[in-house]
Amino acid sequence: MSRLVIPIGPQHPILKEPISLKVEVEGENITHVDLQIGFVHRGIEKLVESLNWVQAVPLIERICGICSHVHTTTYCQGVEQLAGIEVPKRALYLRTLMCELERIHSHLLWLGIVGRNIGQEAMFMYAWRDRELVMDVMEAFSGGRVSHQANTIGGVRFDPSPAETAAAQKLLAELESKVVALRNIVEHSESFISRTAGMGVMNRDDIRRYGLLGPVARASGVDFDLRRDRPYSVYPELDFKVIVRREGDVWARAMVRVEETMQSIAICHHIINKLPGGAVSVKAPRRVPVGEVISRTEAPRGEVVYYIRSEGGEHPARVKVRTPTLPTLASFPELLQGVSIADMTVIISGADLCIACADR
Amino acid sequence: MIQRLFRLAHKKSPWILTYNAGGCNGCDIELLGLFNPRYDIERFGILQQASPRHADILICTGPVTIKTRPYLERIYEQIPSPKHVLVVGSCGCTGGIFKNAYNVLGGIDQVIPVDLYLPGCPCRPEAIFNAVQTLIDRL
Amino acid sequence: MHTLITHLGIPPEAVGTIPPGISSIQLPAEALPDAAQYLLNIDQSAYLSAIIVQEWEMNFELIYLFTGNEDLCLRINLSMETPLIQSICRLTPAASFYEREAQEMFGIHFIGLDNPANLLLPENEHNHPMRQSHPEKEA
Repeated sequence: MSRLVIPIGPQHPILKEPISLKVEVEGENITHVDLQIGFVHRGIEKLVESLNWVQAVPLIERICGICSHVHTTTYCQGVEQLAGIEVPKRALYLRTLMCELERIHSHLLWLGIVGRNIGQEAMFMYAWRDRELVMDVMEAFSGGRVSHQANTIGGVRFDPSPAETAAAQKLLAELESKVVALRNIVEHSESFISRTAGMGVMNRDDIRRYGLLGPVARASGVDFDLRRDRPYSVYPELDFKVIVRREGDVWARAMVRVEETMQSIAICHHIINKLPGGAVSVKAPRRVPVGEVISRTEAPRGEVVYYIRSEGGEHPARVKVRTPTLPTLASFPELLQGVSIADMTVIISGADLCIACADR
Repeated sequence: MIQRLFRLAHKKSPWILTYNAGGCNGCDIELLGLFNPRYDIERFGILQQASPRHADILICTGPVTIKTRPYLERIYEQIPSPKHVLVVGSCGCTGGIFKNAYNVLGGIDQVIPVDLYLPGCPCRPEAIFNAVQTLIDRL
Repeated sequence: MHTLITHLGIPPEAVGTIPPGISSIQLPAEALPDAAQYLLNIDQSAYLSAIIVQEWEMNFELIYLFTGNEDLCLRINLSMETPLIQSICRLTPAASFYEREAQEMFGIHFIGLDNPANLLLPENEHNHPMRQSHPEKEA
């Protein structure tokens, strides 16, 4: 059978961000994938070294637009550890609240995109309509829909009043009923299941070899969540369930994500009910003592690792960012092997790529 | 006469193409948010297109990185004339926060001509809406 | 971790911690493939989480972060004149992208890397921008 090379990207409707896949097909089936990334590589790790500790926060927020808050959380958490800053309890609670709101926003965004890419425009409309509710909550708290500028070294930069948290709880309750409806679509809709079940199956061994993380790993039976297994911030004081499924296909990933959204809404309620009083930030020193730290958090897509080293000056000496999308991308050439070209879109969007994170 | 008819037709339903030239994704999700039921830009006949050859307006986000430059030029060439470019986001206007990064060339206007700049980091959907409308009114 | 120390015969002064409490072992470059193989064999849930590279005191330092039942960092020093190390992408394909990134950013040569092409930088860029000697862009 004749071979054909189909270039996909960097500009392509299924990709929201530029990556390039050169797909070699034999008939309908993919025989080889040549993956190219780096189109949105800006060189943030180098740029951070020329800024001081506080100036770095807005830049790090702009590594990625979807998971902006989790990046600054990881960075600030690391720097606070290095400098020995005791962060007020209220600040930690508010920071975690924002992280969970962001998880809801990210998962709903993904559900919409995957719906659109498998040809279910209605799914996109429902998911993105409901996502506006959580955007409203985030905007009411921090003033920004996408970039919140909520974190600073030593605490957070927003302090919601009881009236504001009550209004947020009302919106979250409304959102919960809508997410239940979305979960019913994902779980029972025949057209969604037939398009996603059995696609891009990864077993536990694949997950481990490529070091895959987050919902993708949890959909393949890996029971690992940084929030529970390497507790940080205030997560030890909150109770939540880690969602694990065994199927390992795109459908299982969708189920894990909608169930996680439900969990996150519950966590948000929990945080708002437990929210302690007091200050929301403490003053941070200009200089950070010599040392190094590995700071890790669970982003919507999996584990984010920051390595931060200080030489005692006003600038970071090294900030290394490892984001969860990079291993996912690394697994693509093998994952797409032998797959029909029509199913490729489902598998690519099912992995929930965030290229801006991966390229930095 | 034909020219006027052409311009009138052009005004009614401009089709847009979006391209992220190296930004953080924040403006892109707000751009996509324009198509959700709350903002619903499609009721004005503004449709998102997959191919540059069908598009009238190119909406670019992000600063231009070295690697993306040839692709951006190619996309611009492929859009049939008359074509218009709208830059969304501060970093697309000037390079913004990434201006001094080693892999960034600067704003979109370093590579292709730009008709309208919309600063903001990230831009709200309402602002993007307004910018598209302004661009159409100018046609 | 203790079994790894006895397996490789590591002196106690090479063992340390990176805050917040991740154990680290200083290794010579030759011992890396053996250590990584051993780690991945004894812990069935262990995987390679990251390869962190930094330039420190006129040396390159590589930190291999493994996550599993117990987190562990392997630290390796390489001289700047001959930055050569065995690739571990045969043991775990997760290493491939991290090694490619380290190669283009710092110019560290990995022996046996499956795909030596640039990952993030443009194809013809061989300047290793993350090195301290790389000039900053003019503001």
